[in-house]
Amino acid sequence: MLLENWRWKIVIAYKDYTSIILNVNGEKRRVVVKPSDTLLRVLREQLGLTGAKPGCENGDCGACTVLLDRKPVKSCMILAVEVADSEITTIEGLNNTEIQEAFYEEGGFQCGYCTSGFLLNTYALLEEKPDASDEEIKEWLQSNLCRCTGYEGIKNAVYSAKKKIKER
Amino acid sequence: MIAYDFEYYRPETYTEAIEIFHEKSKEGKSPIYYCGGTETVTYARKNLVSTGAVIDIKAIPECLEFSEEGDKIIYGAALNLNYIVEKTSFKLMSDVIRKIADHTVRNRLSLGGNICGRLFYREAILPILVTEGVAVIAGKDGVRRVPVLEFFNKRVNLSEGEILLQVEIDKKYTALPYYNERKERQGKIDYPLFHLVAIKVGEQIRFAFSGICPYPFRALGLEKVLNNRIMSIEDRAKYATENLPTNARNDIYASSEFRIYLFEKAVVNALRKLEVENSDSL
Repeated sequence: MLLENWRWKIVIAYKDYTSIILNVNGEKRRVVVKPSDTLLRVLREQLGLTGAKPGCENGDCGACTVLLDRKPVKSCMILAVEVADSEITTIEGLNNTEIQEAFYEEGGFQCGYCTSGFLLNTYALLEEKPDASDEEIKEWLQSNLCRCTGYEGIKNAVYSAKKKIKER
Repeated sequence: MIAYDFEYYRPETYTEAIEIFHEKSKEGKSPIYYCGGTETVTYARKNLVSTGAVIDIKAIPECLEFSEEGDKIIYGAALNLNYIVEKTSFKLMSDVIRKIADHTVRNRLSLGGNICGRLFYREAILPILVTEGVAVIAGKDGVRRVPVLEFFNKRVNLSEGEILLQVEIDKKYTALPYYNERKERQGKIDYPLFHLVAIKVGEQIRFAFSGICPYPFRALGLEKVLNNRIMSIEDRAKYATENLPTNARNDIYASSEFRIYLFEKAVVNALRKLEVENSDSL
């Protein structure tokens, strides 16, 4: 990080390659990035966290979804340098959650490419709103596309996870 | 990935942001202000926007302000749309902006980014147009407050280096009856074929539209006719379709004829709801 003196005030500034620390899945990880590097690319190519997928890289499909301070975001549309202060959660940071169990039991995936995005989005939804209404579930999950399943298994998994979380 | 390099700055005051903008401009870097990044990053990846420096406004306190105290609502330009949907009591605002993009994108998409962006729909401006909100703008010469009908004409009127800090809306509008209709080609997550917003202020109805023309608009001359109760509702809607500020859009989503057909029906619906059903309202 380069801190420039700007009329006697300090401004965060990044030029060329720079070393930053990302807080990923509870661990502080050092990466060397350019300002134009997206979070998706840095997670995959520098940290080996390939769970988030490049689907459209246009903010449409949701395969790149990660959590930023517990909110789902599309990492293909975020610059790595702007999230150095944030808590990032990738699919690799979810372990034995109800939603993962439910997806397995209900057959909520086929090729698996969209699955990490759906899991993180649903995880965030049910953590924030364990009693999410049908309307809210639909609204949140419209952010993710699946070309394989026809969504029935995904939908069943979400409701199953909701039930499991209530029974915690 | 983005195929070119740029510098990144994150100032903590708008004066710093403006100074950096002008400095980078002198260096020939074509700086742009950056907030949610949903448009900038995707456009940069496709080489549709070119810049040597982005200036992130997300650390500027005025841009993050949200307040519903006193007689006005203040929305900071850097607030993401989901934040506004969750927090604001102004139902028309939340109803309009929750239809923009999808839920996950709205966690980053900012109010200012939607209004000032390149994509011509700019639907977040619609409730601000009908409530005659005020844009708070910072530039080299200080801060100015500009009525939205001066600030926005097809797109925002900002001089080089100016930043949209906030939008203010008078609270008196928040309890008024309104009508909001948006039509997509298929599915709810899509650009609108058109988006109509109307609010009843006294006995007059104010209209703003997006998607039907290449820019969102509120046409005061057209509005006068739409409020002329000597004409039938159907005749007024027909007049509206024949007096758009420019030709209706014709693209892969819909032909201009289909857009006009849907638009006419929506204007009838709005007039019926607000003029007839809400005839005893404020």
